[in-house]
Amino acid sequence: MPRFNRTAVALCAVLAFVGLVIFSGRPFGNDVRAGAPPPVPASGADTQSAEQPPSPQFGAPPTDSQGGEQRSVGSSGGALPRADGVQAASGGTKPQAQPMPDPGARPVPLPQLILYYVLVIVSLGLFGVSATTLWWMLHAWHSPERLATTGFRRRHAGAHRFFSLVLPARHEQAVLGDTIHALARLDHPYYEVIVVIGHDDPETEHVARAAAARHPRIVRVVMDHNVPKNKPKALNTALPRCRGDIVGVFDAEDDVHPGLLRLVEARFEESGADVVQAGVQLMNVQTSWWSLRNCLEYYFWFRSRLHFHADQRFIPLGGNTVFTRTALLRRAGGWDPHCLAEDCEIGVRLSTGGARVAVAYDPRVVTREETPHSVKALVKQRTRWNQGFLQVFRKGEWRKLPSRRQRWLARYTLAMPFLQAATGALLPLAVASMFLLKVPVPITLATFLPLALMLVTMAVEAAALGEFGREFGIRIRMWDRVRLLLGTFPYQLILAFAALRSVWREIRGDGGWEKTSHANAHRAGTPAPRAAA
Amino acid sequence: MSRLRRLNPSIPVLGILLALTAILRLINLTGSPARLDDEGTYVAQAFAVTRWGELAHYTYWYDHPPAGWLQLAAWTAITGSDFGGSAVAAGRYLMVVIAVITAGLLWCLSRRAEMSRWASVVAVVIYAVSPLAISLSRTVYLDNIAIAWLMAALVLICSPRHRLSAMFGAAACFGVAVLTKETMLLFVPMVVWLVWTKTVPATRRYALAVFGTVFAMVVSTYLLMAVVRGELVPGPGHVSLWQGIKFQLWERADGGAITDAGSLKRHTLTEWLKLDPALPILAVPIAVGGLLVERLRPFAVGLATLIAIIVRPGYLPVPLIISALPLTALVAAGTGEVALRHLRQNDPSPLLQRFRGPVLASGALVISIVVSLWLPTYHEVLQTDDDASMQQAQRWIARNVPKGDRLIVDDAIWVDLIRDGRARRDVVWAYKVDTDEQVRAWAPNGWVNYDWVVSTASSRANVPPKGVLTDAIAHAQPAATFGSGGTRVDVLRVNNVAPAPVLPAAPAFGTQLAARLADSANPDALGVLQSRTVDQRVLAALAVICATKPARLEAIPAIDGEQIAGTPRRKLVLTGPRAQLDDLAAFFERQGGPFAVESATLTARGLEVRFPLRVKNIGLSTGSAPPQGDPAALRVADMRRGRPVEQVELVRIDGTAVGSLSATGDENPSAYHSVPAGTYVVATHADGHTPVIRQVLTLNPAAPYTLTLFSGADAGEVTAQLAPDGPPAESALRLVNAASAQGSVKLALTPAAGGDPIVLANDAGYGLVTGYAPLPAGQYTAVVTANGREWQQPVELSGEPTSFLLTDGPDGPALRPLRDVPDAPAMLNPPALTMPPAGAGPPAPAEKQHAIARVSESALPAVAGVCVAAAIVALALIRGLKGLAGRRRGSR
Repeated sequence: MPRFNRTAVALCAVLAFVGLVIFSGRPFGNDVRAGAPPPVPASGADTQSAEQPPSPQFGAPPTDSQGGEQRSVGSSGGALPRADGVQAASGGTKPQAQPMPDPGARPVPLPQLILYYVLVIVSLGLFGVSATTLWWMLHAWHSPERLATTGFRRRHAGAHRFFSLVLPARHEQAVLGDTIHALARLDHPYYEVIVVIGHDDPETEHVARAAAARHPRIVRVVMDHNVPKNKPKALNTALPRCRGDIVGVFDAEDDVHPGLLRLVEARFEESGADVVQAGVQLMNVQTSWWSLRNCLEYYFWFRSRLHFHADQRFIPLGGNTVFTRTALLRRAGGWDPHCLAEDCEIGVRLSTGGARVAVAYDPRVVTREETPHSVKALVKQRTRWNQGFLQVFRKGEWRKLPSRRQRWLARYTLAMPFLQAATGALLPLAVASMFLLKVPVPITLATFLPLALMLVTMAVEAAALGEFGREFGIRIRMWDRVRLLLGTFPYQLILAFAALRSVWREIRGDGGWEKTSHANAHRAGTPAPRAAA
Repeated sequence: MSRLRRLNPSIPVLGILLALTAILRLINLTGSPARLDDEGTYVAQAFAVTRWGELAHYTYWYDHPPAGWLQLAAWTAITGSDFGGSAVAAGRYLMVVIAVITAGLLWCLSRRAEMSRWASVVAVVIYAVSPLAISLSRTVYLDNIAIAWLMAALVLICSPRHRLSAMFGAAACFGVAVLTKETMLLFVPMVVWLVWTKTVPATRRYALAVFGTVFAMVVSTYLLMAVVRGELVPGPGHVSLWQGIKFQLWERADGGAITDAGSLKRHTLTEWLKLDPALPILAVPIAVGGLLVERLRPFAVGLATLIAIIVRPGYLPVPLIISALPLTALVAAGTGEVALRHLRQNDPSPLLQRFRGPVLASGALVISIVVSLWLPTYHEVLQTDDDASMQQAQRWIARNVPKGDRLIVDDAIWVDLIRDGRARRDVVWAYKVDTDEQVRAWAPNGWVNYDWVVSTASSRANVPPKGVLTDAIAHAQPAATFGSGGTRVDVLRVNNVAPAPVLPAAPAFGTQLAARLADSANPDALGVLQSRTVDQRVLAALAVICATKPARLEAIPAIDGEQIAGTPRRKLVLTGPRAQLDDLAAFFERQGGPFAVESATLTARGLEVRFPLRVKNIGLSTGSAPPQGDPAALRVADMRRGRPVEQVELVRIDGTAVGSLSATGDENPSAYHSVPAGTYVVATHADGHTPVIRQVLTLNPAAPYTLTLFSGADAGEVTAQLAPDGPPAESALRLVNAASAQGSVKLALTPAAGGDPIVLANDAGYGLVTGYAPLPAGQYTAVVTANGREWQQPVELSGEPTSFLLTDGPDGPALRPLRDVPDAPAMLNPPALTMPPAGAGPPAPAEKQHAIARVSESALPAVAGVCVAAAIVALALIRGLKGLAGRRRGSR
């Protein structure tokens, strides 16, 4: 919308507001008796007073022969007549029933008290988890200065480094060729690409060797003979063959920007870090309602939350577009071959060892990826990641962190996927309890807190969706926003299910690697041409 | 010295300004303005929150969201409801603290609006020193609290580093401001404009999203509360939020046009101008000038919105000007600074050069006019005590209005009267008399049910044209008047008591008593005793004294003026040893009910006892010589709450103690005792304690009686009823209702053989003794209904008079049939009436304690508390400003 229209709308809104305020004195010219407050109907307990005529009766009721006041000798209202000949001497007051009962006097029975405590504690717990999630989500936009630090500030390094880009691939014959060609044409003088293929994967090997043949000086193919196969083992196979100072890891379906390496080495130089994590972004917001949420999840993670973890010196790294100094990797012994989230694990290990990590996100040079194809694939992916987090937690490398605060942060971060899933799944219970349970009003307000925070989070996500569309040139329609909001709870259910599944698998000791397959959807219909950074 | 140099120079300046704000508001805090109805309402609602856990002292009808008085309740929970002498004074101390906080926030806001230090000083000084600001910001209005939250929100929005956390805080503060006073919604355009301009484009969408949703969430807790209480939309039998909003927006009385000299709006404006003739009028050019300065434009828009509200046709709430004051000060100081900077340019244009002198001179003239207009009003604000008449009225009420009487009061003294020990139903806010159905249900007979009306200036202005309140005032006469003019407080007594003739005691009784006292009384006094000029209570008291600790009756003097009117003599003088007189004085002090004394003082003559002027027949007005014949039969049923262990003593009117009975333990009611026929004074006493005279009763020969004792409204008060038990050999039934826990009950009897239930009593209250109704003997099922529940019990009616006694059982009312036939009445227990020495009596009844226990507040702890609060606020601002200064210095 052109700015003119927006201003006109705002001006009309303000005028409407002022008009409403000015003319609220007499909207419809009605005949309501002005100035009279609404009659307040009696509430409950007091409506059983007798049906007495409201006309005032002057004078006291007749006194009886002995001079006592008959007010204390009343009528029964039934068959029993008034008493005759009673001598009564009250103090001028009628005998009265007990004064109005003290409403707070009744003690609360124990089961109800336990319910109140449970509600309040659970609500506060949910609120705490939601609050930290929201706060970390908004880390990058906390102030303009901080937003500036999240990007690449320096554009060129003083001296070029030699990069070794490792590209493990398994059953990726559809996408691998394009990826290798793109990687071979990056805008950097000194780098090599090492493609790691499993020995039992002839189709992918065929594609890889064909592509390598076209760029012989840059691309090499390395065979991985480990059994069973997984990504860390593939990476470890390539590590001894790396000739570069810096090892970068890419996935087979990545769409890498040509100018990325220059920016990354500039980042290494300006920050003096040992590890640089550049941005990864899922692009297919319009494929389905959950792919929309998945893309936004990545957006918040790489744009904002990772920067928070980097500041805290405890970072679960991504497995993609991450660059580490080769010497450091070799000293640390490479990746853990048995961990399902090897990226998180190496990040924890390096952080614990004191390595400095720099994160940088620039929408123009972000590595583009696609979401899993189906909900089932998504669940498998998340199960693997969650199980990996659990394995990292159980491995206990994080216990070597120096301060207690960092260790608690480590525990919290590693538990976060489970806590978030629980929060999302429990939220309808909180909403239901608010309206269905009869609890005192302050406790109802306490159960409202997590829901309120969830609504704030949804508003922030809607704002981020708009920014995403603007930065990547994708047109976001109102329908997308509606899908985003409506998909909040179902997506939380999916994540909760994946979390439960991961716990189940870990208990059973099932550590097999469930691989996600890719179909090049993010490359079909790429929206805007990638300009050189 | 270097540490001082590093200190932000704003700190001492701000400290002085805050101290100035506090001191100007603390001087004459309780004196001016006089306590208002609105203040009393908010304080009463806060009291209801802390005392009873309810949102308001009457039904909460969503006129304002409750956050304001919840904060007031938190304050009074810390300081106590009596801080400063009255409940409203306690609230005013909170207002002073809030005014100091507002002044500090005004400083921060003007500094963040890029005004120089001097301009900020001027802004805070205007706010601190304007008499309108002083007077209104110490009145307990919700607007004061709300404007402090609004200023906090504005300060946070203008965060110099554009932080997102500041947006969270600002939205929450603005939400609380709206929940404190809903008129803060008028500032939404200003706030939205500020949020838009004070955020950078890169983070703007997140700031807006966060601000909007957090604000909406905070405000929606109010809606949620209404939904949870089931009071969102109108429905039968309950208030609703929608009705409250509708009333506030559309159904308020139109204030009239501002140009109309007699309209309500003009009156409001005159009130403001009386306090500060300058600022409300200057607000218009200040707002216009502010619109021209770019960085003050949002604030000027807010100010202009308020001015539009004031000027438009429609309702004008009186405290609306409070919201305008800080903004006026800010915009005035900012505009003045900009204007001054333009005028003092080193390189002015020739036009400016020509006008520089005159403009500066006229500016100085305006300022001096404003100051000179303010000076006379300081006298009223800082020195006059407008509250004296209300305090005097309160003291008079505490001393002279009996605790059980119903009062219609101005809300300003509601809390103080309740804390004085009155029942919640006995102190009724004038505004609710005609508008609240629950209050109307408490007074089913209309104005007759009210005994007193306290009329103040604000209640006089708001009397509805017709209704119970108008009737009560029409039928009332002033009993006491305090103050004059605008601060006049009248205490009116409603004429709802039939003027019955005051009957003196019958000479027959006096003769009997005189015979006993013959050798220990002054002959003149004896003569008076046998005449028809003595108050009945004097006789009864003398009989009891004669039976316990005889003293010499010195005189029964008449009081000037009353002799001619024919009022019976209500004063007596006793002489004797000093110790004995002390005991008797303690005895008289202990009496209550119809036998309460006005005073019992030891003078040179002896013990002078004076009974109040009461219109009460206690049963001694007609009499004759003691009747002869068979003795009567008497039993006592003690149906009081809390069953004290007491004996009932009978003293014949001639001063002889006849005997005692008691209804203790299982024997309640007691068995019949045989008592000679005659007239007796009944007193109750516990062992070792002072006896309390309860009643005078006359027993006819050979008649059975039941004496029932019920609890009265106040603690320790007793209502006694002597009911003759029914005609013998007739199957009849009556009800004695002593069940109080469930409220009024309904009793029905269904014959066991079948048939329609006979409703014996419908809506029988505690303390009811009915007459006898004939009922055939047989088996019945008694059904007692109370409070929506039913209890059933099989009963058998023999052919004798029976009383059904309803008491409170563990599970509800319990029905007990009693035979009203004295088979073999026992003898009375021997009399055990003694007059214990003074000091052995139980502690004075509770209602007296309330009057004694009021601790007088000195101002010193109050001032100390406020200084501590101001110091804490200043320290918090120091930390914030030091950080600000550090960053400023770093970025230079």
